[in-house]
Amino acid sequence: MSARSEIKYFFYFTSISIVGFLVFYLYPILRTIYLSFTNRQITSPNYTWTGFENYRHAFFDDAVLHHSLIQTFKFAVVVGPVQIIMALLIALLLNNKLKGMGIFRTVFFMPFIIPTFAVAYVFQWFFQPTNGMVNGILGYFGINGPGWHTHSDTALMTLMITSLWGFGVTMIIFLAALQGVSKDLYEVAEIDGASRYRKFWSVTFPAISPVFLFNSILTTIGALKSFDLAFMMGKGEGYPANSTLLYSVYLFGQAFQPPYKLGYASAIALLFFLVVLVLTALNFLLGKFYVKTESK
Amino acid sequence: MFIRRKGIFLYCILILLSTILLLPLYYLFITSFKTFNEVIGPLTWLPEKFTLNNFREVFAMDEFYIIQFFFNTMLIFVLKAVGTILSCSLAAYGFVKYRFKYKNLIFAIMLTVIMLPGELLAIPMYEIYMNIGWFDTYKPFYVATFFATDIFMLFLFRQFFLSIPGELFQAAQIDGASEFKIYYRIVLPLCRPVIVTCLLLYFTGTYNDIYTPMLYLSSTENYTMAQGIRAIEALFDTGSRDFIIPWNIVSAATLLSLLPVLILFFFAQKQFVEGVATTGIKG
Repeated sequence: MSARSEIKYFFYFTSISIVGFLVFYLYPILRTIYLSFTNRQITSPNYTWTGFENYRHAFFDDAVLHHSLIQTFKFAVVVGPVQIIMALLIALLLNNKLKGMGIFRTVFFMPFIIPTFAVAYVFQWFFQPTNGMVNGILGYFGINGPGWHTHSDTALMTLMITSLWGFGVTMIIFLAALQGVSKDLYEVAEIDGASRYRKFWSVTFPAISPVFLFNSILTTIGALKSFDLAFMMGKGEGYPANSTLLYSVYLFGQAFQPPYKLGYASAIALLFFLVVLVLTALNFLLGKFYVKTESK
Repeated sequence: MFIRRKGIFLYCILILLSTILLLPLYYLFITSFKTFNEVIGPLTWLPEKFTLNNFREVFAMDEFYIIQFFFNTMLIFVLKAVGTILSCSLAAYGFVKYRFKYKNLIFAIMLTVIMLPGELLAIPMYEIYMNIGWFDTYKPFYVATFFATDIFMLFLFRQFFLSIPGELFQAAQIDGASEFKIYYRIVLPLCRPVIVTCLLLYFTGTYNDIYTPMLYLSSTENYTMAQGIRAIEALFDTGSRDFIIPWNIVSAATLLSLLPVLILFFFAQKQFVEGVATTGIKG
């Protein structure tokens, strides 16, 4: 085929994706940046350029936004590390060659595939203060259970527990990595009489460190951007008393609920994107200290 | 002897952990067979009076059409999957097969957007879709997919084509097949593994999605399953401050709503674990 018709066919086949890229990625990004400097609301066709007003408001005036940022960090700081450690520990348990491990793997993975909207009801009922199972069991021991998701002191914690229920995917990724660790290294370590801890830190962890980094980034970003569960359990408004108002839920409310402040929402969406970007970069930097890459 | 004892200890831990993990689901399951009176009473571990009434009630409820919700969701799923499979395979094939100096640069630029969060793109699209009157239709869900906007799937297709030996395409060319014929007669059928991955990801993704339906759908007949289930609580809101949610009915509806995903999981567990776990996302 001539070079010319190669190019012709290249564009025949790929033009649809190039158009898609321009319309559904490039335009929205530029438009979001533009809108963040305006007072655009969906309800009125008129809007004006307001300069950095939205950003100023976000930084200095919007106390609810600051509150939601704090709640999001609390959520991410707990859920991220706990999920990683829990997943790694259980993956280590399941990595033993014993009968029936496949069944346990399925059981631990299964919560992850339950749709989030269903998970929200499963746990609201499970933690229901007066008739729920958790407080029922606590009652056997004479403990008066807390109000869980219905009380502003415990709602965020309940959200964390519920979110951690889906740790199975992180575990599966660890398990796959563990099964790829060379058996020879363990044998050498055993001949040297290494203890179990020694074996973990000298053989296992270095071997899975790239996956550890991958999982850390995945869970950190996932926790920071967490929306579905908080939106469902907090009734879309951070119920009760803004205690579960994560950043993404607040953003959703600003943009898509009356008074539909698209301009302001664009500004806080961009700010959040930067925050996530910086934290991801930090994660990578941290990874430099413990990730062992194959040297050749 | 030592190994045996270690094994038993390990089993005990795993069984204990599994039990704790499955308790919420077990509670959902038994609650959907309980009567309302039992639900608001003290905790019981099995239904005292086993009843199927809750399920009958779910199907009979006003303003709650669970079967319709299911088919709505499936319709969106099919449209989205068809859009992505056709457009992404087509474009990816173009990127792999034909020689063009800047094609890798173009692809690299397209890949950078994979890390952009959806919220950043959602606001301008919302503006457009509302302005052209697509509110309360399924168009905002699927139209974009026909333009290969799922960059991740585009990437997967491209990787797949790179792994196919080029002779296969050339042989077809010698036989005189036109370029597009080669694509849909030879290339597309070869893509089965990628298509299966896409279908699984899209099924769970569409089923889980609460964001898009909340933005664009308003009439109950159009609701997706996620949205319908989300709204069920409000159906029992009588306006008084201390209305009691009939958890037996809510549990029955929730149980029904997660059955399709569970069934799919048990039939396609291997693909699920590979597909979902390697990407780390629900869809």
